[in-house]
Amino acid sequence: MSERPVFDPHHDVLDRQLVDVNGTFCGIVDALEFTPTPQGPVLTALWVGPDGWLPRVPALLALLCERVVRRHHVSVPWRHVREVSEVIRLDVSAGALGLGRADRAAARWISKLPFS
Amino acid sequence: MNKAAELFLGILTAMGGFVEIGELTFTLGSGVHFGYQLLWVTVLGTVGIMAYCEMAGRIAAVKRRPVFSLIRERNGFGAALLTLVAANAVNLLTCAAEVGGVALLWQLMTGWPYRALLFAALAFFIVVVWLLPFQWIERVFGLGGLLMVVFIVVLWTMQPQWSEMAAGLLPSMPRVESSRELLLWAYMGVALLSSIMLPYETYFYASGGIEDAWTPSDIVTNRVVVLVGFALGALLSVALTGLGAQYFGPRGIEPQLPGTAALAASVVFAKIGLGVAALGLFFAFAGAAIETALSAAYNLAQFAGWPWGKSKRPREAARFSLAWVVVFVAATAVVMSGVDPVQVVEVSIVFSVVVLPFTYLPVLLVARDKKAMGEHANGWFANVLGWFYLVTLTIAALAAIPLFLLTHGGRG
Amino acid sequence: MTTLTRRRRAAHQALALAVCAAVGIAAGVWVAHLPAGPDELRITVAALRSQAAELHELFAQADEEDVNPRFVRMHAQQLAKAVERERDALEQMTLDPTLEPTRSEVRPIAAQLATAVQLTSRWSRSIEARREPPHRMARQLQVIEDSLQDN
Repeated sequence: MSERPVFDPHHDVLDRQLVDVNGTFCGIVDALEFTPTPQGPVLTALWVGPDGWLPRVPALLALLCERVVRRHHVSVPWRHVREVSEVIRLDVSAGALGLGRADRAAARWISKLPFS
Repeated sequence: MNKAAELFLGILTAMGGFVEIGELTFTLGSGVHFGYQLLWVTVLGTVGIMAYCEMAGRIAAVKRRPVFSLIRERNGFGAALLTLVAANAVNLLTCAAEVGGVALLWQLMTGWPYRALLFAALAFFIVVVWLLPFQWIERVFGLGGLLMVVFIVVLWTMQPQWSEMAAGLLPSMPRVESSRELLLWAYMGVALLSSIMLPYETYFYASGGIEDAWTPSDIVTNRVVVLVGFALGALLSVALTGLGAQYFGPRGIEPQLPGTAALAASVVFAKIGLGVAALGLFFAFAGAAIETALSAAYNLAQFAGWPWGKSKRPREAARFSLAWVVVFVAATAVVMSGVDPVQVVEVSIVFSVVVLPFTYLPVLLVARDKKAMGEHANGWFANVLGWFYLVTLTIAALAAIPLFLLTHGGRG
Repeated sequence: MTTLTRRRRAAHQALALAVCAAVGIAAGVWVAHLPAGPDELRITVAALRSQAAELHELFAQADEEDVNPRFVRMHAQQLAKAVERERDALEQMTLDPTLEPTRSEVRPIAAQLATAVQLTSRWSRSIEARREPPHRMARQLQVIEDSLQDN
């Protein structure tokens, strides 16, 4: 996005659906990454993955989830965000950013079944 | 297909899909214990589900956003996760009860062993949902459920007490002889309200609107389907209450099996009536099993941001497809453990009322938001209804579990 | 949040959860071991009475040939499971001693009902199943149910 966006990231970006350039759903924004600048903090990336949502659940649940879920996240650079509306539209495919890996893995398995 | 035909089919589908095993149990039970004295709760619940499904459908048409993504957005991650777990636990239990109900009905029709039929039901559901497009699923099971109109005809032939029925439509305190009966009346009222306003209905309806690619031009269709279709569906509930009052109550029978309900049809129309009733119940239960499984998968996929939708091929929404398969397998495992499907549904109905306020609050907040919905935001009437039901459901949610315990699980 | 603070919070939450679970389980065990009163016994008697009435209705419709024999057998099979559940509940109840005579009164009726339903689940027109008419069983159980209600 080239223009300075006018929105509240916590209200308009966090917990919004991410959609890639092909219209595929590729996760929800789980956390926001800000970089401090002399003008104040600037939104630089969106996090998708357990590293983003684990700090947002009660501590006990987070500790239990860490036993089951691998700590990782995909960092989507803010420059790839094309549009902030009902959904967050990206200007690249999910695969290019490393999003939607689990769905693609599940799809490879499912495509062996008939009528998939 | 032209708009009028689509509308007509939509209304019939909504009518045929209105009743499921929980509603069957509680409408018959309320008729047996209290005659027509709880009919007003059927009306109350029907208007409530109309209001919230209309709002959810309108949001789907205008914002192309399903209910669960709104819950996460409005309530935050933690509250949405709690709602997801609670709503999907209720979906799983309801699905288990419906799968068990289908197996019980098949046993009545075929004479085959119940456990073998549970496996057959599991295979049936997976194959049907895998192969059939979304609209076909909606229409086949919704229209098949219309066979339950036989119960309306049966009640008509029994010459119901119309004046008592009319009196029952107005809210009133019950004519009971003890505090125990009063508690049971209150429990039945809460359970009946919950069985009509089950959360999966709103989730499924809104997700279905997106599957059907609704736009703002479909708002009128949405409204007509909800108002007319659900009103006609409520007639089925009223008929079941009437059969409880007129047929089962005087005989001292409290129906606990799906086949018991079908007995009422056979007394008037013999074997044909029995067959039609059993088939109608099958479509109603099967439709509800599919809706609850898909609803659970919709909730999870929408919460996590996965690709979702029956309109996509299974490999295009891989984790969503696996999710509903897992729900069917888990639901079958629950009933395979030997629990009575009707007891499962009674527990799920009571706990679902606790989840209802969390489900409906985000729907109301978005539907009334002029910034979000523009000219399609709630008018004053929808707002009044929305807040009235939210308060009513909150009271019901607080009362549900104490009443369940005080009435020994609703048995008296 | 530092790891230490998070672990401390998790420990507090685990403790709170454990305390709530312990209280809930203790309450559940205490309630389960309370002697059953007239209400609990009445509920089981009412369920058996309803099942006897349902068997009577099933026989009536079978005699009129309003239902086919397979339906009668299969419905009786499903009803038999429900009757067994109530009989188990009747036996497992820790009753107030004053209610023991009532349980002794209900037991043979429940056994007769179970026999009638099981025979019907095998032979839809079993004569043995109809030796003790279900409507008579239902009436006997209704009398007991009413006496428990008055308590």
